[in-house]
Amino acid sequence: MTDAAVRFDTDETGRRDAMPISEVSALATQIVGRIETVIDGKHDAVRTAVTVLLAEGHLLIEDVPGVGKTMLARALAASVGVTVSRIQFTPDLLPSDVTGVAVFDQRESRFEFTPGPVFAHIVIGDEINRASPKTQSALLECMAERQVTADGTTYQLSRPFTVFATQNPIEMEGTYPLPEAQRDRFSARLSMGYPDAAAERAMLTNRDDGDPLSAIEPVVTLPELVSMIDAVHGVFASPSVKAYAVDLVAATRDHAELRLGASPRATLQLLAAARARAAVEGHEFVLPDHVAALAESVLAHRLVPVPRAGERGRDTAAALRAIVAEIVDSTPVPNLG
Amino acid sequence: MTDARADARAGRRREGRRLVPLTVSLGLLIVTALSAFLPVLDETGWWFGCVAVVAAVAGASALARFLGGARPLGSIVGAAAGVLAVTAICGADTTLAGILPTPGTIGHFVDLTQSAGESIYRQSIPAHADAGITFLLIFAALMAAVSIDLMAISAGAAAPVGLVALAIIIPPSVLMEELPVFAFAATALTYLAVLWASRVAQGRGGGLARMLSIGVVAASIAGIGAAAVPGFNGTNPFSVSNATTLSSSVSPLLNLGEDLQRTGNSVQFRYRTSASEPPRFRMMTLETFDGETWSSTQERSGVFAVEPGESLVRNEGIAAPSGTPVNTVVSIAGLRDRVLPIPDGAIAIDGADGTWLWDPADETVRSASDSTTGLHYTVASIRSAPTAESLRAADIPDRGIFAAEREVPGDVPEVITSTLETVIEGTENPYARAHAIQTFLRDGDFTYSLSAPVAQGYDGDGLDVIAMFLERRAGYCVHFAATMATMARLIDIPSRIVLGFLPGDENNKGQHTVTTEDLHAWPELFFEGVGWVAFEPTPGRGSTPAYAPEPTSTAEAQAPEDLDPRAFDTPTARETTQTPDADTAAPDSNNNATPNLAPFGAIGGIVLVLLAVPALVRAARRTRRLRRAGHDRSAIDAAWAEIVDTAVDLGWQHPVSDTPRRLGERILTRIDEGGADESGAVAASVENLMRAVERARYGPSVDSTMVGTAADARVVLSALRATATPAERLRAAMWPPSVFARGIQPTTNLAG
Repeated sequence: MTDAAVRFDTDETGRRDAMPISEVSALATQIVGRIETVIDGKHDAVRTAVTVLLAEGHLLIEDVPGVGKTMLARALAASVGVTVSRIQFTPDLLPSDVTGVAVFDQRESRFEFTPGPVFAHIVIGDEINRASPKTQSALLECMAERQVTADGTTYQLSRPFTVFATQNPIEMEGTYPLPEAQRDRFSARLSMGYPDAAAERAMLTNRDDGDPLSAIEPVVTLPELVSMIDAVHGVFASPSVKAYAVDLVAATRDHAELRLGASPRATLQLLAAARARAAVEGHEFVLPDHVAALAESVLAHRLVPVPRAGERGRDTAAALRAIVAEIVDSTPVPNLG
Repeated sequence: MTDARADARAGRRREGRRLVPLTVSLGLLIVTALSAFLPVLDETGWWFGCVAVVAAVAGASALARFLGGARPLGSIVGAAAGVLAVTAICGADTTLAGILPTPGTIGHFVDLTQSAGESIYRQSIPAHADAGITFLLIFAALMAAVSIDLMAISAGAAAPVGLVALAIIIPPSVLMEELPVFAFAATALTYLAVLWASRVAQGRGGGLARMLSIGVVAASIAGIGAAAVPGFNGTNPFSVSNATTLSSSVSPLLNLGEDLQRTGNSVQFRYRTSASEPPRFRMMTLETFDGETWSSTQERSGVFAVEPGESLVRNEGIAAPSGTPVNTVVSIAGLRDRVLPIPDGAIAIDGADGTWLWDPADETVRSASDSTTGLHYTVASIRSAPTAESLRAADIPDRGIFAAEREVPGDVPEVITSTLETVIEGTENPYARAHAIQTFLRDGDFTYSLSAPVAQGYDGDGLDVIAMFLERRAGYCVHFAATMATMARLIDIPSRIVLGFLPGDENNKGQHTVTTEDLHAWPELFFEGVGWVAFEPTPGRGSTPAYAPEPTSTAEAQAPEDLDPRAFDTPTARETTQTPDADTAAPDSNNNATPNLAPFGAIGGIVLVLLAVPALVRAARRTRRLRRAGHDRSAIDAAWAEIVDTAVDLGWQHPVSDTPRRLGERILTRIDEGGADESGAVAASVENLMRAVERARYGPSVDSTMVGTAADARVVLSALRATATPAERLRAAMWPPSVFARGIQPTTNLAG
């Protein structure tokens, strides 16, 4: 996505040879395994998170408190050996608290830019809906443009740059839920859901001493991660699979129960995520299965349903996921090369 | 000793009691199977007759066994009771005391059988269950009831009675072109009841699974049998023996009407001609009219044998016609008759094998011994059509000649004469009068209808029929031709009716095809100095000759050039000649001209062939797909498509959103559940195929890692079939759904 951007880190490593897909798949599997030492019974969520990381997207984790949203983000960050910063969003957080601030250096008699927490490979934005819209948009601008402009100077963000934002949909008092336009910036949304009984029992056994994250060692180094991401870019997507992705997204725009369908950006991100998913599964080319499997995570949070009095009280997110699933079921899979 | 005999007898009585349910169910089986005929026939009386006979057979045999008779004795008693019942129902008049058959009864039954044969030949569906057909069905019920009693009880083999029921149920299915669902289901149920009762009678309970499996096998045989019934392919046995040719018929016109009314349209002959305008073909002329029937004068002088290369013009009295001879090459296809179809004005006939006699009086060729079958001959002819002027100038020949052609028997109904007077009012010229009659019939409010005369009971060509026809104003060529010929005679113009064929249809290679639908009758009138002149009074059939055109705003008799010459070979009323309405087929007292069942047999045969088409298409597709052992995309795609289709045939869901991977995983799951794949070979094949097809469909186009898949496909296919039930496999083989609907549709905007 950001091939044209100046890269902070890869230049030093110089490792530009494409990593074989099998190796990408093996490393991704290890990362997933490592994260699962602290997140029990959430294989799909973990895998989607890794997929989004490899697709250089941003992830919105939306769920009730205490199910491990932040834990997932932190565990993933810890597994890949890159710089991580965490921003706890509060109503009084200022945009400069996120992006950084120019401080006047009296000795040099000039302003010096002090990078904010956004200058990290993985930024964990906790409870993003608690911040003011102004601060939210500062972060979202960084997500879209992968750069920070302060006092006329543009600073490139690091690569990879991924934001894992969490949001609590239940406690809405005094919050600023992300508007639709801004949710579109996130490649995917996932909700953790409660662990099943067995996973919760296992958690009690494994997790009664100390911070589990401290035990996590990185699986890959930063250069390895960048190579993986580059390899994902090289995953082949046939014209028919691209057409399938377009079909799926187009179907959201014509759907009777939707007021707003998914954007062309969604199509781009769907294909990018499908490439990453293919790589994680060890495929050198994208299958319709990969596209279909990600459609719910990538598309559902961008859609706005028509207001329906009869459905008041029903979980909107669940309804949207059902609509996407229905679209996937009714869209013909390409059966030709 | 006495005790022992009494014991044996008591044992047989107990057995007889146990056999009652079996006897009852056997009777029900016949009755339910016969109910498949209910939609074929228009009444239900025959069915109750069958019920009575079956009840007599079953009741008498059950009673005999109940009273201690041995099993075979029961069958004999049942048969005797059945014969008495049939006699009482169908031949009471010929019996002693209303029930005992006499020799006269047998003769009566033979007559009934023959009339049934004719009736079947003539009627269409729903047919009228006349005495003959009723007898045939009741007799069939008797035979069936006795034979299944022998099979199931005396011989102790209940399962094969299903075949008897099947034999009963297939003909109506074929005739109706569909399975009589309710009758079939009811028969299947009673068949299961028979199987159950048979086990009860043998003192064995239960066995439901075995019973059902026999039922399934029987249903399979039924399906295969239905697909393999060879008869009913158009060769109705009755139609061969009963077919009368035009030449041999007592009433050729009626015969022609029947031929026209048959729904089948078979090719009679084909021809090529050098004429600019395709000719009509004449076969025979009818000049003798006795008030009831038009017939041909068989014995005439001047008839001589046709010799190849020799001219047919021998009469010194008539100057040889001048002009350029036209050659017409005729190849007989389906026509079987003893008269040759030839164009008008024949001067020589070549290549007609056999002894054919030329009748110069009416320009027809007939034979006493030879048939047209397979003939291929050339007719040279010079057609000299008269002009309207010459006809206008012509006169009526003197009285005394053409006596036969002028004869009208007495008692001409008043409607004919009064109509004629109105029509020719104000005209004196014979030609003008003839033209007026043609115009009246053709251009008035007469409608061409094959069914109306039959339905309203005035089919034929006699005077009373003509009178009726003039009132009802609907009929077909026979009526129009007979009417015009009769009217011509009433104004002293000699007339006769020609039977023959319209020119037929021409294909783009200049070959004309003449079918039974082109059968036609038209009148010819004689004008002094001109000769016999054809007219065309039938609206919509053929077109009027140039010398007697239809009056239109532009084309008067004096302006024949204005006519479209092509009009002569474009019959426009074809569609009205199609299938007569079903209700018109109900025969009246004179059911001569009713349609027959043969076309339905033909349709049934076609339906059977069509039924086999999906299976054949499917098999051909499978062979083609698997034969391609190449490693290219299309071969892999074909192998996978075969797997998809097989799964669909076996009743699997295959929604549009199904990917190869998802289907592959379902196959793996199914095979795992089946537990047949111990070695994992099938799973490996599924895996290989799935990956190959994914690579072929979604992988980069330059890809060297494609592998052959036909062997894997075979492994997977046989595993798939192994997981299915026998019923699923049978359906997949006989009626594969994949042939009708492909589960996968391509996306609308395929870029690749």
